[in-house]
Amino acid sequence: MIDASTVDAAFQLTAAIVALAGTTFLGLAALALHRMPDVYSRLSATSKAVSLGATLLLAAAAIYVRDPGVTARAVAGIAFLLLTSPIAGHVLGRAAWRAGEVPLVTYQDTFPTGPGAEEETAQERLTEAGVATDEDDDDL
Amino acid sequence: MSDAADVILVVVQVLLGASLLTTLAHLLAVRTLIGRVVALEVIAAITVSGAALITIISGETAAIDVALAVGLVSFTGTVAFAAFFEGWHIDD
Repeated sequence: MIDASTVDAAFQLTAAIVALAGTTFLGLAALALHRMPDVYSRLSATSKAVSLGATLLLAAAAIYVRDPGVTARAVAGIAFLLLTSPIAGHVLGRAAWRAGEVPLVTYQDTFPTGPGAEEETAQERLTEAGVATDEDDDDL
Repeated sequence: MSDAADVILVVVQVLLGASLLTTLAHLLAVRTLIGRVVALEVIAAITVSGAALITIISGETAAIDVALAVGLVSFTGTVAFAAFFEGWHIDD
């Protein structure tokens, strides 16, 4: 026979594992900030990992507490986060592009005549950012 | 109270604190304005998650309201910054 304390322990263990998964994604986002070379790839990496991590932690709170009020707020928070996080990422990327932020990773220019477009090659960008020198241009 | 859940929750606290410190280090190290806003967005998400974690650990159900409020303010701040950075005006 399953008693109430066993059910409680199962819910708590599930919530803890979900929270651990969410925190792993947040840690990966924090790591990506250091590892990624330019603003666009940082945005691309963090906006996805961060929304999934915070979503999982809010879900863990709902699972752990098992209170209707907390669950309702957690669901509202998750919905809000999943709606706004892509918008925030897009708006930031667009602001960076309009401000002429130099992309290092993406060589293909989809909007070559856009306001942030600059007439320089990928080699010049890498040299300017100190990633590569002028000599080793054959391995690009 | 199950022991395994408590141990995992301590690990979660340590990981969350470590990622907060890592992001703070990046925030202080990065040179461009927009890079700092990206780091601040990550910090806001970690704060939301921290509030949810406080709800789990202390059982304080008011903490999840903090998570909601921080999420709202973070999104508004990001959009306001992007508007400022792009040079939007009210009468455009």
